[in-house]
Amino acid sequence: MNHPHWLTDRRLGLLLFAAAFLALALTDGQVGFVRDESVYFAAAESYAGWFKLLLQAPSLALTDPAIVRSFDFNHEHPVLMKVLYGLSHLVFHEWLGWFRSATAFRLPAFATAALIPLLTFRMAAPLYGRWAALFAAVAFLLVPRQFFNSQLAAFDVPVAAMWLWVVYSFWRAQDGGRHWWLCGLAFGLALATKHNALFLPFVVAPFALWKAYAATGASTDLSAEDTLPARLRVNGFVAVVLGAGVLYGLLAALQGPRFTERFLLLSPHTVIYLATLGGTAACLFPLRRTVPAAFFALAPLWAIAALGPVVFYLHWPYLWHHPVERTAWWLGFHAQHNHYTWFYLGELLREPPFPLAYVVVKTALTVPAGLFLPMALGFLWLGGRSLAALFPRRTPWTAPSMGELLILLNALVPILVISHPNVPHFGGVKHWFPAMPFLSILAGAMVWRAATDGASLLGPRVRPLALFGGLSLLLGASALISLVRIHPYGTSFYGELAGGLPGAASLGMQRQFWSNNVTGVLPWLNQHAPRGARIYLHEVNGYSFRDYQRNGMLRPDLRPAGGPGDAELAAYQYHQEFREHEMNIWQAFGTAKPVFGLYLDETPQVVVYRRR
Amino acid sequence: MPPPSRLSAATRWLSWASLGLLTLTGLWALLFQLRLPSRLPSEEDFLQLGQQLAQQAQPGDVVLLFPWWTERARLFVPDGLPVVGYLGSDADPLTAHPRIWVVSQPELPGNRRSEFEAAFLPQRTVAVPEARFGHLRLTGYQNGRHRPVVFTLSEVLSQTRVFIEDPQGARVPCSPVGQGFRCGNRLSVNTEWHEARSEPRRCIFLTPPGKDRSLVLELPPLPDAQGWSLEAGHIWDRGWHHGPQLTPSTIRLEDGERRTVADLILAVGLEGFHRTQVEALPSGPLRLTVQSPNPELRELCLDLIGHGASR
Repeated sequence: MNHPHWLTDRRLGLLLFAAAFLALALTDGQVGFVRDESVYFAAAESYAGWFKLLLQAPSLALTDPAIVRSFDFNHEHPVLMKVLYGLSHLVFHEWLGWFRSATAFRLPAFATAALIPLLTFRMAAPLYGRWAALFAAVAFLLVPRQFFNSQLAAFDVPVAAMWLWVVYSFWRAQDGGRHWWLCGLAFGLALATKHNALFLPFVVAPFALWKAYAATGASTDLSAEDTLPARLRVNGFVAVVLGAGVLYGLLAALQGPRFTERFLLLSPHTVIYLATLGGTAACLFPLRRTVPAAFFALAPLWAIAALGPVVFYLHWPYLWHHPVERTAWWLGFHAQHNHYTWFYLGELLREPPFPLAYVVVKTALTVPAGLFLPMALGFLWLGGRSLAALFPRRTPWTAPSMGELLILLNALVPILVISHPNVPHFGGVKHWFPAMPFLSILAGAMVWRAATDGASLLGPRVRPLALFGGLSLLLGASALISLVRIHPYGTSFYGELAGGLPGAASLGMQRQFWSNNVTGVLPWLNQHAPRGARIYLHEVNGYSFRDYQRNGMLRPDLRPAGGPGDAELAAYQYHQEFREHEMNIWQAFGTAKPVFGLYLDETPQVVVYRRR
Repeated sequence: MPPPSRLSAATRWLSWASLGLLTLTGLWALLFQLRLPSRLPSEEDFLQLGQQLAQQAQPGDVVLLFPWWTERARLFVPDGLPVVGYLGSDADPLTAHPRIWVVSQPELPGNRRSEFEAAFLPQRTVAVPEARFGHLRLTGYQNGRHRPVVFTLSEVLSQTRVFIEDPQGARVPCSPVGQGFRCGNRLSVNTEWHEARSEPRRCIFLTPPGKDRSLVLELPPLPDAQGWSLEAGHIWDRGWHHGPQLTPSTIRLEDGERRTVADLILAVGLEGFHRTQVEALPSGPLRLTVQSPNPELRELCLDLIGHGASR
């Protein structure tokens, strides 16, 4: 295929980044604030305040009390994104005044989300070609729920971007260059974004070992440049890591619950960590000269172990004075996260075990069919080829490359993790977003393959690119229409397989998550609420109420009511698990008849009542 | 790109299948999205529906929504005409209502019409033929499951006497407050709207006092009735909770000699409203007692309904 010579993959990737950033930035005005986002806004402002203190009084800012004052709020999540949100707000809203408050907070979210099309394209293009890569890059943001979440100053899309960056760096590292240490840096940033990243080493490690062992072969020959056989160095690398695991296990068994409090700067724990880094480095670095392929396979793992914790520690001032204790609290918090009630196929899921098929079913119902089908077919096709590769003599298909297997595994692992029946299942689809860029790549590959094979079958007059273009437009058109129609209420979206929003309501699926759809009734409230009225915005927390007012979306004279008892107007968010709250409004207001509502394709989302 | 001859039969078949499947799915999805807006009712449709109901509805009628979640209609239904639409309302006998107006949107995708008809149609006959307002349908049905209501305890709560009683018979009276009662600082007895397993009900809300004490409602004189229904359920998510510390709630209808006439036991983990039927009640004073050893998460809602003869 001919492309303009200036349009390199790098430039095309940057164009995709810019287009995605603009698409997100130009359409965020009506996107409401989900419950968590306003908390993150507040946290971001608090953290930005600490940076101002750091400039004014550095010695004071670096004390633990000053750090805790700013960073104690919302310390259940690391702060990379919140710091970026806060600094962006400080610069672009408070200092320069270029953007409204919410948009200024969200700019780093747009930028991080825009990395996904860029990285998706850069990963897919060498494997499946530019056109498949373009389809993959665009597909991610055509999924309405993904587009919506990309506009929030939250962590779910950023961690998907970071996950993709880690995998991309790991893959690129196999060809040499600087990507091996960038992989470690990316892992540190991923960890600094959200705890999902903790699973990443387990995803890339098998590939690293496979490549390292394949590169060193069975030979025990000595290289002229090394004193030990390469295979022995790889074995040594593995043995040191396993040994460290055993030692930590012994320490944990011996020290019990005091394991974390005894993890001090000068402690056996630290010695084991440093010895592991040193031991693995001693095994690893000589390989760079003797067997570079083995070095570049294992080096990203070493960088993950070396840089990951350092970046994580450095990025979060809250850890600086009590790193282990506070990291342990953070991990413990997520190991025992609450289970929020969730409506699924007519049942309220309140506690584990949750249905095993939940993630797959929910994905099928919430990704537009034109994108879901190529994702599923692409996954099955690559999975089938991977299985067939186990019997190379009997298959006509080429064995998948390591890059393809990486994509397959990363399309699967985030889904498998959340599919575990004891993992919290609330939040719609956002918890397995890290799988979606990889599924998009598989979709692009599938469409390209179908088009090229189809052109081959249909005869010489059908050009593969024309068929691919037509097929892509056809598959993407319904997604684009649904994206435009649902905006800015992305968490309410259901695709064609569900029968749209009406079909999903009849199936008994969750309507929304969580509270941002109230923007659909704010103009009515602004127009009809008496001056100074107390209004009860159900499930809208105090931070969000304040944010709607400071972003000019809610009249400043209106006051928040804690419940229907002291409100003149109430906006109920339709959640099946909260129907009792609607009854409370009926009871307090003396009427069951609403005065207004947000009904998306007839499905009630937000229902407004006025006191009789 | 391999030439056709080099493609194996299996690969050729897969290629045709994937191309066909992707093309058909793309077309279907596109048609779905293009058609969906034209299957939705307009505000004008709802206004016309509301006018029709205002002209034809009679006291005692009820509106039932199909699908159950199409609650936008509530904005347009005339005041005073109750609207029923909740998860499971297809099978609601709507006993109190002789006539049912079904507001339906059968063109909505995935509406499960056959399931609705299987649950709703038995013992119902069309009384007013279907009228169409754009994409809305309005049909009046005679409700063969109707039983006239001659008494509803929740509507006469203020006529009861309420107190907390221990096993020895010692009583702590509850004070009338508005149309309800307050028992000490914590417990109240009121007629309120509540939900149990998605079903909204206006019923008597109360919490058992705990331990071996009972909350007692001494009933006013009751009218003659052809049958009585004692109905109760733990509200909201209380029915779902099933911690080991939780205890069942027992609702008992007793005669003047403290003999049980009817009872309902709401077991731990039992959701929704439940009922027990009694054909006739003994003459003389009657009382309802509610007891649960541990009052935690035992908030419940109850009613006693007397039915007249079916027409």
